[in-house]
Amino acid sequence: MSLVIENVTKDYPTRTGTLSILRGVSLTLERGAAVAVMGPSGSGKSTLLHILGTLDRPTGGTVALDGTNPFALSEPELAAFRNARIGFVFQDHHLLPQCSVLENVLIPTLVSATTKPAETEAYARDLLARVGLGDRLDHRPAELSGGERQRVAVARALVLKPALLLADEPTGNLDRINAQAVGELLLALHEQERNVLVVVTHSADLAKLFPRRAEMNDGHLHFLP
Amino acid sequence: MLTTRNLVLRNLAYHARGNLAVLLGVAVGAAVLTGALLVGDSLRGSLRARIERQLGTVENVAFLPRPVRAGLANELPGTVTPVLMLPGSLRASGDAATAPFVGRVTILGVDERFAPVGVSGVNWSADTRRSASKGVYPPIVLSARVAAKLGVKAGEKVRLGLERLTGVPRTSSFAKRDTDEVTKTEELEVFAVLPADAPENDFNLTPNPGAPLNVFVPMTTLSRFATGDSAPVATVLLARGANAADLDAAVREKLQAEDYGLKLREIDRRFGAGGYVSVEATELILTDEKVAAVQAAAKALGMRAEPTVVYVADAIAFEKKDIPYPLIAGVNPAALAPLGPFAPKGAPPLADNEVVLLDWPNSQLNKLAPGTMLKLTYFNPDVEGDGKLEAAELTLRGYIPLSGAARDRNLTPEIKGVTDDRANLFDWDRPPVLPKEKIRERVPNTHPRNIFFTGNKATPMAYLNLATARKLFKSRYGTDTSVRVAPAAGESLERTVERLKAELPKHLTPPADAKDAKAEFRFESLRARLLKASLGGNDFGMLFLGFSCFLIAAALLLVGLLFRLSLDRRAKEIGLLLAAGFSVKRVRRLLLAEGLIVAAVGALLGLAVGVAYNRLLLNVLLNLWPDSEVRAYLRPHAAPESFLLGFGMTLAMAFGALWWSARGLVKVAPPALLRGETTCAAQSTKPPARWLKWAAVGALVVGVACIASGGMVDNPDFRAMTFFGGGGLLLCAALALAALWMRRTRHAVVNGRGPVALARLGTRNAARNPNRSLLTAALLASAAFLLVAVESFRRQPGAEFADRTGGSGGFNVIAESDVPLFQPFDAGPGRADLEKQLKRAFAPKDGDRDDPPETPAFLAAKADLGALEEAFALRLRAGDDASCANLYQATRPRVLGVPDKLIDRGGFKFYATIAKTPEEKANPWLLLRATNPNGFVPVFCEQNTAQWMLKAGLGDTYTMPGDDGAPVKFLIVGTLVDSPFQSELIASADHFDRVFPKQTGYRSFLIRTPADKETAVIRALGIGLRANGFVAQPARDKVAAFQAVIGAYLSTFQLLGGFGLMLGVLGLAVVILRGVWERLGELALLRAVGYRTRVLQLLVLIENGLLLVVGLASGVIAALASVAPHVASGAAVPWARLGGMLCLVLAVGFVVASAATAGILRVPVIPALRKE
Repeated sequence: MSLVIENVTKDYPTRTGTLSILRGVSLTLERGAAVAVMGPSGSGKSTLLHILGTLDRPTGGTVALDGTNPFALSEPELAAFRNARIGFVFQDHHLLPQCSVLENVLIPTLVSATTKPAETEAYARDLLARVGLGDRLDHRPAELSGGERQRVAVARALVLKPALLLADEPTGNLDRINAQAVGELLLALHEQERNVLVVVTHSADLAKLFPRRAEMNDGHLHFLP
Repeated sequence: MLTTRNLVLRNLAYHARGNLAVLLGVAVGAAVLTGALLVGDSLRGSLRARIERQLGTVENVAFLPRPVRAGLANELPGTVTPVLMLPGSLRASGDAATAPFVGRVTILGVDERFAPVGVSGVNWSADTRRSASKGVYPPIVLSARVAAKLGVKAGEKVRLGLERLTGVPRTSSFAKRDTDEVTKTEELEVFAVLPADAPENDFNLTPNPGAPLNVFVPMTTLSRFATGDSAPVATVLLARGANAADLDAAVREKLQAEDYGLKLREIDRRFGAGGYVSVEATELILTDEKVAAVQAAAKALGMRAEPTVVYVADAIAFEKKDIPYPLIAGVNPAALAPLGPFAPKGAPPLADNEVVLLDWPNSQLNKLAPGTMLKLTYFNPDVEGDGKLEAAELTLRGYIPLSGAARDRNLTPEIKGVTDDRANLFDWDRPPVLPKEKIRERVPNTHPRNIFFTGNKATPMAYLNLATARKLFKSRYGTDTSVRVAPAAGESLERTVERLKAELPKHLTPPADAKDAKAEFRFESLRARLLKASLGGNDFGMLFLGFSCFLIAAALLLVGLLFRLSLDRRAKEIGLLLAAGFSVKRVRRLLLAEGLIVAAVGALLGLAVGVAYNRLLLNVLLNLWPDSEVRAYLRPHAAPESFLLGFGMTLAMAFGALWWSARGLVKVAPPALLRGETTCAAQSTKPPARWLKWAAVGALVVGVACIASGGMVDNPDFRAMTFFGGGGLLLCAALALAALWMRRTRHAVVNGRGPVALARLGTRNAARNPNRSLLTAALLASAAFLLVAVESFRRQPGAEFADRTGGSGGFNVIAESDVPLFQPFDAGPGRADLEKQLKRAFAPKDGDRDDPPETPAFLAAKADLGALEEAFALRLRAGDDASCANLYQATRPRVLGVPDKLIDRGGFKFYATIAKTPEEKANPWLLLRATNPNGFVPVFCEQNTAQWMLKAGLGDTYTMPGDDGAPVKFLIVGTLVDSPFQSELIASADHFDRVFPKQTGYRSFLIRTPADKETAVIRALGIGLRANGFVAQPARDKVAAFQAVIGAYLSTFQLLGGFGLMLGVLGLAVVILRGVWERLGELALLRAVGYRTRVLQLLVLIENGLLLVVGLASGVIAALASVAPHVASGAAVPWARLGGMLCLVLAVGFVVASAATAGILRVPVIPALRKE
């Protein structure tokens, strides 16, 4: 399993000319790889993440996850691909307030074509136990703290065992202690699941936890030593 | 500098879009509320304006019991105008069978005082006699409507048909009853046609829906047509400038004995028995009150008075010998001369059931021994039609010679053609009781009875005591035919008459303070009564307001929803204010101040829209209303109070909605608000309050109890209250249950995959914001409630309508005549008379009118009449139309009197009766025969009429005056469904005759024919009975016309439901769009985790579709439960139409929801995820 992107560019037309956000980014990540992408605001790191997550299309270059170019898929196929292969954690947890913790984790499974409900529920409970919320299954998001909500979001991202786990400022809304805990959790779960983990963050503390770090600068990606 | 006021103004400006939505919502509420009030104003205003127009300057009216000298009007205070007002018909010139014909015409015999303004050249005081040879015809002025219906213009000839006014009741054996005798037709020349805007077109003294069909004829001419005498007489006195009490007092003073229908005859006996004065009635029979008055007057003058009864019997017989057609007198046999005696000399007083026979030569009953039993056969004086022969056993006391008091032909009251010198026995042609042929057969020229008549005219041949005569010959009018008064000693007959005339009025006039006493002459404040009737049979404003309640509630819910949504968007701003030190109270005040300003502007806008909305509703109602006449006078009206009330109520209700919306938001902690959260964490997850459960259970129980109790009572107001109240409570219960479901904490885990799992998630999402969801559902529920409840009240006569036990009672034709018929037209002399009229109608123009030839057209019509299977003639007391077609309040509804045969036959479809015995249950018509200990008259009426027009239910009484002016209570013992009797009460003929003794003959008819002969029979009857103004129509058409009126109401009310539904769907769309806007991040996340846009759309559709279904289901269930008693009573609910309508509503809801969710496809994922 591998994530291979080659010479990916992303341009936006503006009134004053084309604005290049990504200027030929290439990256290969094998199964089990984890990388933290840092960079100043506007450097293109979130854009890269969104392209990796198939939420955005590149202007040029190729993206292949396990040899599949997702952008060649139709919209329904792409949605199914994303559902099965990619997990997301956002800065804002985006939990459904009307659903319990367990149900929020199960949300991606509802549109999955391959899962067995009983198995996924058991797995969701397992994940929640692993993120330390095993006793809060029936709670609503409103009854959780910010860190707990983000841990639910992590569990939700992993419930379908994605090959690629993407996190966009996952600790941006959290205090230092909670941020540390969520970061460690991400990595721990990544270790257990052996997926590819890409985290975009401003946080140097979070980045330090990762074995590999990269920096986006002016549309170019550089791995840091 | 920023002040609170500035802040409010800036907020208003900044949040203009959100405020505009609230403003429009309030405007809708105000428009609906004010519009409903204006509908009431319009109806009341239009009816009032119509009454003002139809009455002109008339304030008080006296409806006279008989034609009275027109000169009486001159003797009364104020301005009193006499009018001879008669019902009649008019036919254009041309072929009698095909010429245009108009029935239900009001013929107004007027002099200059009431002549139509602007018509000059008619001498309204002169009696112009027709002279075809000279080309002179009496003039007639037609109202524009009559002229249009007939298609005639000035200078053309028309034939007027009216009833001949006879003093002798048609029911009497002395009265003739065939068409030629009962009706009078005259050819007149149209002098002028009134312009369409002439007020005289609309003159009308009844609060009825139909446009009056007035024609004007000089009073002298019309008096001659009606009475045979040109002396002007009037049947109504129209007064202004004096109040009713003063007029009544003056009438009491000015009335003369003749005005009471009394005539005083000087009987100057030439056979030595002395003279006396015979006080008789122009109507032949003296009422008991008049007899008593004459006796009292005589006593006051020191004169002797003897009431006397004379009746023509069928025969008096001993074994095979009889005297045919003897006149029987009931007298005081012992009365002294000149009023008696009538007993054999020296005999003891005549006992009851004893008879003294006149001893005259060749009498068939001569020389019988005293004590011999004689058999008297006579026609029951109260039975019309074929007549009913009664028999009595009388014991012969003896004989008195044809001399002295007994030789007195004047004992019999004066009847033209019967008692005058030129009369002969064969002129007593009074079919069917005394047909000429039968008289000729029984009494040939040589018969002793005929010889006696020739010599002695109407001299009685047998004498009974007064008590026996009164017992045998009692009619509903009275019994006595005269009171004979002996002059005081030494006084001439002339002087006696003078003194009696002066004295009589004192005793004929009821005391001034006897309000409910029987009084023939009484001025009524007609303007006041009609203006009261113009308030409407129902308070339309309140009715529309009642049905608009749901719509108003929907508008307010929408206001609340929009305001809350607007506030939700301002959560951060509110949080900031709270964080900055504003108190919760202050923030709430600030928000409410803003809201109220918006609401006030919205309400003002709504008032203007309300005027347009009122016009729209009226237009809808008028377009659906089957009677085009309503369109001529129903106009928008607006009372300032309605605007004030509309504005005030809207503002108050909007304030409540705003307060309720703001209430929850200011409770949210400022930090949460600053984060954009609009609900308390605790609030959103807390279990439902206990009060909600109790409220749900309470509303359910009370609602069901309310409706169940409503099904058991007949009070219409209570029923209406149970309908609205019980239905509203059930609706609340259903919504409270929905709220409970949404707030419950223990849900099954949303799990699985595929559509089912999505549906479960959608369901969960629907409960995400319970208040908002509930508001949306409530909006839809209230509209659905109204639509369904109203639809289930829409009736269509079922297939059984034509059956004997269906709405028509098995009679497919119903008819009415302007001039009563006195003999049944389906058989016997009546049928012969009808055929004679038909023969005449189809005869060549120059043919012999008395013996017209049988033309093929006549033979065809005669053959059509052969298809008559069943016909019943009913009595009719004219009055106010009590059907739903009458927008006025019917204060004196029409009354029908049904014959015994119809009661025995039974039939028709009943809604409810008070029947208790098996016989009554099998034939509820038997209830009409019951005698009530309180003197109540048992009646039936149509259920709708009872409920909506009379405001009475089964077992209730309804009071209105009888013929004598005294109040009569009518007890509703049964209510009918789908019958053609929606305009009247139905009583038995016996009770009818007791209460309305002056109504003679038959004016309403139930007819059964084979279906394929219906049209032909209607045509034949219409032509044959044209002189009577006979108009027949299929019963189903009549019922359909009533149903069309009900349908017009229901459709209008459904329009309100439709508007409510529009608001509901609008609310739903707002909720969906708002929900999508709020949940962009959430929806983007779902897309991020692999949800396809269509799946997301489906998800949103499911959750909002659920609200749609919950709302509609709540409304439908509540509505069906509340109309359950109505449905259980056998109402034919149009289920298919109802189901179709609901499916349509559901489809529209889903289409709107789909359109609203289409925006999801365009939601940009990344900005949403980043909350940009």
